[in-house]
Amino acid sequence: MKECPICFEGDQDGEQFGCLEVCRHEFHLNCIREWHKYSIDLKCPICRTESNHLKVGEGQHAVSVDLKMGFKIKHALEHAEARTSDAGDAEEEEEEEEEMDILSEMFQDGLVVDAIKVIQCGICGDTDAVRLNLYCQDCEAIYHETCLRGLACEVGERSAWHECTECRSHELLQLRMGSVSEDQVASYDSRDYMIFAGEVRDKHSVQTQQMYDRIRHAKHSIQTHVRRALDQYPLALPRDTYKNVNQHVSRKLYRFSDNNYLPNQHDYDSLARTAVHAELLPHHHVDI
Amino acid sequence: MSSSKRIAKELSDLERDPPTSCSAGPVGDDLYHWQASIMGPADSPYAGGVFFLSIHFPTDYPFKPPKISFTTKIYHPNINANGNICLDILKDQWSPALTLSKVLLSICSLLTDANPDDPLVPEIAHIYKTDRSKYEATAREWTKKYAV
Repeated sequence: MKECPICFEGDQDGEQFGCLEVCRHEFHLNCIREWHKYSIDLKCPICRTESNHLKVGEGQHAVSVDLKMGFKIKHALEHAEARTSDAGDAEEEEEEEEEMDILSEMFQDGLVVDAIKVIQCGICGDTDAVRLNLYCQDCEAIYHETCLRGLACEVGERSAWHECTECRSHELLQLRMGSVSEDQVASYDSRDYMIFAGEVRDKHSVQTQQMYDRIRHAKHSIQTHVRRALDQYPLALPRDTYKNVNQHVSRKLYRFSDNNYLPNQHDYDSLARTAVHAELLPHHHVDI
Repeated sequence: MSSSKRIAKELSDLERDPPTSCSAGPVGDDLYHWQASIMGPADSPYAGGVFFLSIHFPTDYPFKPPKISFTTKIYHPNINANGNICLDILKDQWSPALTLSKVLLSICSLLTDANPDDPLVPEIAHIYKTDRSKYEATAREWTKKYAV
């Protein structure tokens, strides 16, 4: 009886076998594909010969699955994960903390209704907008045509690729952005989606981001004035005091001008100086 | 694919056809935690000793290797004081076609032929390379002290 070298089971459960093209060792299709999610190369688990293709089925119904395609997707995902989990230096962390502050303030103020959502391929997870070209009308999933076709080949139904993997709908619309020029991409604007900074984005998430960018700009501008006031303070300040006062005063000024930076209406330098002195006086009343 | 099914299968294979120099089985009811023992190979300074190992199977076994460590103290360039083993097939050279039985056999041959060029304990590796009889004497002494 034929036995899969990975799970040690035969074909009693109707599991399909596939063989690696070079060494012809046979495995359950599901087992060898699962292994490729863990492995660092495409070597055979038995003899360590490398195969780029897996043959599934017999004779004229045989399909050759390109293992490298799935591998590229795996590497891309790992790369993306590694990038998001990269620990930055202290300054970056501080900045990140600040951005989280802005976001949570926006949530509290009811400015953000939903989380930021980036449109990405439902199969490989890539956000590369120019190649994302199929859109499911029923569940709003978006795909690369190449990913759908690759998947259909893998499951042995080469012609059945025109189907949404989320909801099984056949109502897939061409986004028609395949290899069009930049300005054509920029003009893409539907009821729910638009192009923003080179990506197909949920319109709602674009509004959120624009608001976020505006608030961040206001906050950074106001902080520049506060830092200046702190730097001009007659006494040297410990790092912690500097940081705390900076945060406190910046927030005060930020609320004072109603979430905006309005340099024409307010003299931020003198406001900052007054507020910094008010904050620091109780600590230094003996010295001053 | 279920990891417990594959582990159970390995257990029944081990019971049906036990290897000559080692034995292994679950600790209590937990199929994912095993204990194994290896007899010191006759042509090595570990001869006469019985070495115990603790084995933990990950839930995604056999896609990830089992975690194996010696619980008996042993003097060897590739095994440290915590019992950790430096063996490529337990790390990046793991393959889902390997079994616990094959891994235990590899550990047996590691006892006969150490790999001092990829050491876990550099001090022992240095002695192994420069004064083989001193290494063998210490290994024999430790075997007598901890594994008999």
